[in-house]
Amino acid sequence: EHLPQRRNGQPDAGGSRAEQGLPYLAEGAACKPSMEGAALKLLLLDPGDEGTQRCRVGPSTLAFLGAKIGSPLRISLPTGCCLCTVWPRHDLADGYLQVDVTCSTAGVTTRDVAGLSLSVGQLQLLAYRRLTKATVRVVLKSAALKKSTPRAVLQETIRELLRNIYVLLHYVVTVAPSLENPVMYIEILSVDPLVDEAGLITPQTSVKIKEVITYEWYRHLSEDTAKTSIAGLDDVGKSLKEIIDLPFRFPKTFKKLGLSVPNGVLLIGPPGVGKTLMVKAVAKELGAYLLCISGLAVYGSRPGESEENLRRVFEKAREMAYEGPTILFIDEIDSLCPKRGRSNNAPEDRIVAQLLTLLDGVGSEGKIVITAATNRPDALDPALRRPGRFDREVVIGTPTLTQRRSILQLLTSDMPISTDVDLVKLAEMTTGYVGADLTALCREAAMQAVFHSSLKTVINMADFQEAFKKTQPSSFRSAIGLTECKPVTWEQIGGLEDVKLKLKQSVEWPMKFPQAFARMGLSHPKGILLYGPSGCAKTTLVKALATSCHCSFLSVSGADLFSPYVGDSEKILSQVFRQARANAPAIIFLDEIDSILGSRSHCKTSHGVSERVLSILLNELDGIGLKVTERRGSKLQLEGQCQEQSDEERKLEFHETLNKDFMVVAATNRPDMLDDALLRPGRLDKVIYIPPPDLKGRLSILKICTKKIPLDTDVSLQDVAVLTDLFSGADIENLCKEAALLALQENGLEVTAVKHEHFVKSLRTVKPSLSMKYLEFYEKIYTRELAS
Amino acid sequence: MAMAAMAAMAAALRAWATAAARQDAAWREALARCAPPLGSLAGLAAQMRAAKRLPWGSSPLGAFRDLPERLWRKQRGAAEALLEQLGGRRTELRAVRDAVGTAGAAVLRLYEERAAELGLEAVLRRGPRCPSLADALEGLQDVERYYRHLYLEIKLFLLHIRCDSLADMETLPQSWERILERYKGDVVQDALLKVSLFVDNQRELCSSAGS
Repeated sequence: EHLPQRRNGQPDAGGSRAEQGLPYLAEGAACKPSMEGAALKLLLLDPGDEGTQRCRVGPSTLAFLGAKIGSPLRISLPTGCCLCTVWPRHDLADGYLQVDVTCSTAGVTTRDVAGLSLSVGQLQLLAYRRLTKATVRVVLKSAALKKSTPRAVLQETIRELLRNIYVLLHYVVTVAPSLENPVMYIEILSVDPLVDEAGLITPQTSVKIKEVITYEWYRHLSEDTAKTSIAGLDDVGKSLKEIIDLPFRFPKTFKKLGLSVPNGVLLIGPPGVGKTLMVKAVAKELGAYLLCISGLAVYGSRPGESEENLRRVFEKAREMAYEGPTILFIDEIDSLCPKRGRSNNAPEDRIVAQLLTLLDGVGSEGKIVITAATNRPDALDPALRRPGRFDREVVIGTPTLTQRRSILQLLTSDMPISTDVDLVKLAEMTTGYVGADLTALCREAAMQAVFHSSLKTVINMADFQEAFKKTQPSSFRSAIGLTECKPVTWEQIGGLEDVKLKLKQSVEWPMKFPQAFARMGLSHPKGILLYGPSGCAKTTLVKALATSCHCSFLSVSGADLFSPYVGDSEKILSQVFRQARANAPAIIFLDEIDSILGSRSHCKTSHGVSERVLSILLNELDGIGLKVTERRGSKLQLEGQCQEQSDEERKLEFHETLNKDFMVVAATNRPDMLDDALLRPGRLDKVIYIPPPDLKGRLSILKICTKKIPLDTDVSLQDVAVLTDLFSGADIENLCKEAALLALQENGLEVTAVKHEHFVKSLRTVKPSLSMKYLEFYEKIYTRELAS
Repeated sequence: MAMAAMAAMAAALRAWATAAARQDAAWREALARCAPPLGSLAGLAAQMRAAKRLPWGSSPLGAFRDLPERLWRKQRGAAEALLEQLGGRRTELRAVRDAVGTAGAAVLRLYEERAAELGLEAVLRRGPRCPSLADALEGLQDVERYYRHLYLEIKLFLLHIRCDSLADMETLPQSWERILERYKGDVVQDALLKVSLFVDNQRELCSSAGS
């Protein structure tokens, strides 16, 4: 006749104490004050106690609380509170607590409970009162059950389920799962009499069901309500919200006006700008249920399966729409709805047709808004892009400077950044970065800070600089012509002072001093042509240019452009320009432009590839406008609101407007081969001649080239410079190398210095690559240029 | 003082136990009497399905044009009658649930009134042969909950029987078994045993505490 006393989850130590009777109960009363801080370890519940609303405590805790058995107790857990009736443990062991979370605030689950420690202070004994009335919200398992369960039956069921249960206002009663029971949760919305103490629901309590919702909707409602923050897309967000929100808010007005509700929005933008995030943020803000479709989940292997999946998703959306506003979000719609008839792929066409008919069907019901996102709008079936399916198209472009600044502000708002971090400067540096890239940048910076020292808690500018080196804008990951060049400073190029000045004027100044340019009514040149004999630092100059102004640098050569497919070269070139525009300010460098482009006047054979490439280039340089999908920022940004802005803001905006374009820098040694149309103002409007180095230039080149070569005292660079007439920069570099090699050869490997005679000797072998005739040719073009 | 209260509790529990034992017998009987009508319903469903499949026109009975419909009506009538029987069982079950619920509530209310007199120590005291009052009360609550939940389950189950879905009707006995299976635990017997042990032996508990 021994009762089963030990169950699972109970410690052995307690069992022996229980058998000894209760000698410690008196002690429990004596040590009452010290109980306050005592910790209770939370154990898993006995299986038999599940769904009973019991919590099990030891006798001394019972004594401390002064509780009667079965009286209600509020337990504060880290994730919420729960209401239980207090019962002694079977083994009467102290220091342990088992809680059944049948009645608790939303979000408390058994899983969070296990393994914690609570102090006795977190248990609060409540008085209770029998309730006369209670209003509840019922959560059912599924929409089908919601339809099939009659209200009267539900009412009766709820009364049964709630009987003899203690409740508090806004607590949720979890119903133990069973076969026939459609109810999952019961939320207490109001009680009468309204008191702070616990309420007991008796058979006499009248329970009123205020609302019946499905589990899915409940989960959506109770999901964390933390706002997904999004910055820099305020205007887009506003228009999106308007489209989505209006039909939900004022369905009757729309009906009265005889308007069909707009129910489709297509978001267009490059990857990573936040299209998906935007929709999520808007859905959260409006409290709408967001249902996502992705192409992969829809496609099935059997014929007809994909269409069926699509229908099912739309059916589900319709079901959810009964509960409340629903947004159906089709991410990467280009994969689901490509142009029909292009690939002779009948199954794919059927899916497109199914999607189109489903989209048409949605319109009649309202409450559902379809949004879709794509980064390849041209690949969509044209039938999709008409009002009635997607009423509106919202273009989200690569963020502009101000947008980047606000995104960075948002991202760093939660990060401990030191005061030396200049977000405006960061925003200036990060041209071409989209939101995802900026997030990566901030994460990387934080990682850098951690790497440096795990104790440091602030992120400084140096960390951001380091991170900036490591992260690349995502649009550049697949870019054509993106080059990594070794940084070259202006000082590393000898001579050519006036050329350097000209280049700085036309490239660096507009980017660095936009106000001055704006004040003088100047705009920066569209393109620059550098010409001159080969080996005279044209390419090096461009490298220095790329180093000095922090902007995207794309270098395109013939190898990138030409392809065996007809039309491919033109496509690649226009893609380069599109990238440059997306990442403005940018420099596009076309080296050896004469080989890339032909000249229409010189070439006899028409319709060559190079002519077509040329026409693309002309168009891109001075075309009629941009494609709609390449829009960036908002159109109205500069108008109207200038008055309220501070000087700094205005400066930023100057910066933005002047730098929203790219610049083409081309280099050639055959300027006569170029088409005349290319050289007119508005296209390559600045033509800069890079002459071969004169005496002074040669001297400075020699100085730079011999910086790393140990020279003997007898070497006179001045003399060498005089001797190297008609030498180009490259020749001079070669000469220095030759001289050093010669020194090694003659004086053995231990030689420490190059003597003058080595230079003289090597001059015999190294011949200048330029000739007078050659130079005359350039001079002629140069003078003609000056004359015109 | 505590002794008197304890004695009162024991008396109340004894009354509850006798009532509960009687009710439990009624409950079991009602449950047992539910199974045959459910079996008949399943058989009826099989019949109805067969009648639907039969090509009446080609059979000799084809001459009686309204035969299928009349047969259908007859079968429906039989099903309704069976459902009515089941409804009767349900009322019996409800009566048991209500009786046990009220009796249990009375005992618990008594405990609440006299809890102060009893004192925590006495409520938790156990003997070698005797469970504590807390154990007994727990058992009582368990019994009440057991009847309530099982009754609810059965009620929803019976409500969901529809003559339209014959396939579901044919599996009624199995579903019924499944429900009983879930509630197979001998909660009631356990509790009755606990309470009777307490009632019989609580005197020696008091005396041992006194000595």
